Amino acid sequence: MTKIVNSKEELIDIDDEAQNANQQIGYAWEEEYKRSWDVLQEDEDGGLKHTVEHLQNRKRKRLERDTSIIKRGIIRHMFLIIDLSEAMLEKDLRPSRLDLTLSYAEQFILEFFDQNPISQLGVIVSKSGVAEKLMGLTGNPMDNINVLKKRNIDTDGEPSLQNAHVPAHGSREILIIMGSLTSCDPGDINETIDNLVTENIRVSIVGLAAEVQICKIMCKKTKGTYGVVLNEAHFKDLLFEIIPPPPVSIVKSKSELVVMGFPRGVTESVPSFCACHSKPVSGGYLCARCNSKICDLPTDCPICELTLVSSPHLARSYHHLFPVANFEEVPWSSALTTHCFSCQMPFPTQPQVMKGRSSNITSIDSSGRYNCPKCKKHFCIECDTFIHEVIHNCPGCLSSSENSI
Amino acid sequence: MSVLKDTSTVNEEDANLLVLIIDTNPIVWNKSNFPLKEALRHILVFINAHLALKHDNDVAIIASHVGVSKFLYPIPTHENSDKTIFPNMYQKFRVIDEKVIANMSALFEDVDTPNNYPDKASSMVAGALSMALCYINRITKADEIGHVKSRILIISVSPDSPYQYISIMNCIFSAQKLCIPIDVCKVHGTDTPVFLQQASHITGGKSVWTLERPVSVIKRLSMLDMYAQFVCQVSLI
Repeated sequence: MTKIVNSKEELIDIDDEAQNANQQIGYAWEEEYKRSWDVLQEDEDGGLKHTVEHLQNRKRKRLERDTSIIKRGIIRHMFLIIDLSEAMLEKDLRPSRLDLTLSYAEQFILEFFDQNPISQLGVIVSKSGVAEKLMGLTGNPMDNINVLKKRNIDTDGEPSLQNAHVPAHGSREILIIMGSLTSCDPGDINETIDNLVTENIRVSIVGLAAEVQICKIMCKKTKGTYGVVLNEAHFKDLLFEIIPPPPVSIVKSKSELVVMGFPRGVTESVPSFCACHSKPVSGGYLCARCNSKICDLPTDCPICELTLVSSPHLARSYHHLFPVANFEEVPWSSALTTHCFSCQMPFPTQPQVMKGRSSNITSIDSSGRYNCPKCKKHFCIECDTFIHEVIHNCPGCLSSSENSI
Repeated sequence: MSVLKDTSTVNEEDANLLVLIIDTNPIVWNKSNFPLKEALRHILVFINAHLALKHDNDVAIIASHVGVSKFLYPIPTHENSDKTIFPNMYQKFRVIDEKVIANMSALFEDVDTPNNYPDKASSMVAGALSMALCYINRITKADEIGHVKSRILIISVSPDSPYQYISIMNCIFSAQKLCIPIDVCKVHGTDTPVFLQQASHITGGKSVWTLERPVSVIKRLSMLDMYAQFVCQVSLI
């Protein structure tokens, strides 16, 4: 069983294991032959409804997330380091570790920029003991993705944790995806770890094989997270856990004022050159300080280095600062409402006979109602998932006069 | 910056779900020279026209009031009393008209909630938008064929409330992600509503501000509706 060490030094169980009580699932590389059709089990009527509900409930449990209102670092500079050694060609994660890593990395990049629009991401790959910077820090997700696609996959040798270099500015993070169990480094890795701590860089590692002590120490000292994947779905979950902005440590942070520009959009009848690509375009944005024309936001002005954003980009990150409280399941004793507050879907009524039936009843035990602790309105499971993953607003709290942000 | 996919392809089999959010702040409606009763008549005719365009078209109506927001239609009730058939009118029109009027009257009869709410000049647009998005999410998930295209239309009179900024922006980004255009029609009021303007701009909807002659509201709304249904549009952020 593996544990994730997070910044609060708590140990969290990976809940996949609790859910798979009937089947013993270990690491993906432990299984010999996967029979994915065995997961589906029909109930006595031949329907799959209960299995689907069971899966939905499991998914809902995964959403128990940190909802404390604390200071978080919204402007992030992150480097994604991908290990391109021979160990990545193993096929325990289908189709192969490397292919899965690259496809998840693309999704990660898109989601990262969706949730953190004013941050920047760069990609580094590490193979044969050498690290190579594929893409410097940039705010544009498509650049990163195009570079990943063109990457020539020839792997050999061992990766190096030390040779991955990061620039020194901004709120800095590193995410490493490691497939191998070894690392060959030229200098003293402990010195590198100390450097990372002094420079305030947070390192998170997703391991694909097994737990490695040096990785664990590195993450613990830099207050990052370390996880080892069990299977494909878990890999995706671990990667996506890095996406919400991490809390800022109180000791090191001082409130700084950051200079930002909010450029005006212009359209012209005659195309003129833009400052970023030297291409003639007839519309764009004018930098607030030097009036040079930029094609795209958010970006740094290439002439005067001012960070340029527009207000929706900032607003996209606000929901991290004011998260919605986790909903609680309502027991049958308080299940008096008839339909969901936000989508008007009727709730199931309490079944008359609840004793003397076998395990088919386990998924009907839940009343299907989920209660917001602040406004006490009941929601269905679809709305619960939708509210926590997409909207980040509780309609009940917004529709009653007692609560306002 | 980037081009979204087609928000509505010209497909004859698509059904249209229109979620109408009506701002029912009584204080602001009182000040305008176009009373709410009159406006409601026009709106009901517009809804009937939308339903008449295609058999599968559907509508949901949410009232955004002072301090509370509520569904006006559809509300699942357990009564089976509305079984009288009116021979001179299409049954669905009649049912919707009656339900909307009845629920809106019930909403206005409750004076305690608006009295308790401190900011009486605004309405709960954010709450109404969130409920609309949840409803659309449910209908989209339940629709197996995948041919329901949804839209939100906000009929607004009251100014923006700064307390709701973050909530409205969250709703706007969710609508953008799900490709749901938000159209806005501001019937009365001289100040430009900044949040709703951003809503329609970001999601690729259309907006109509301060009609010169409010009685032309049906004409404008129908133009918005038909434009959205039958013209292929590609949204740009």
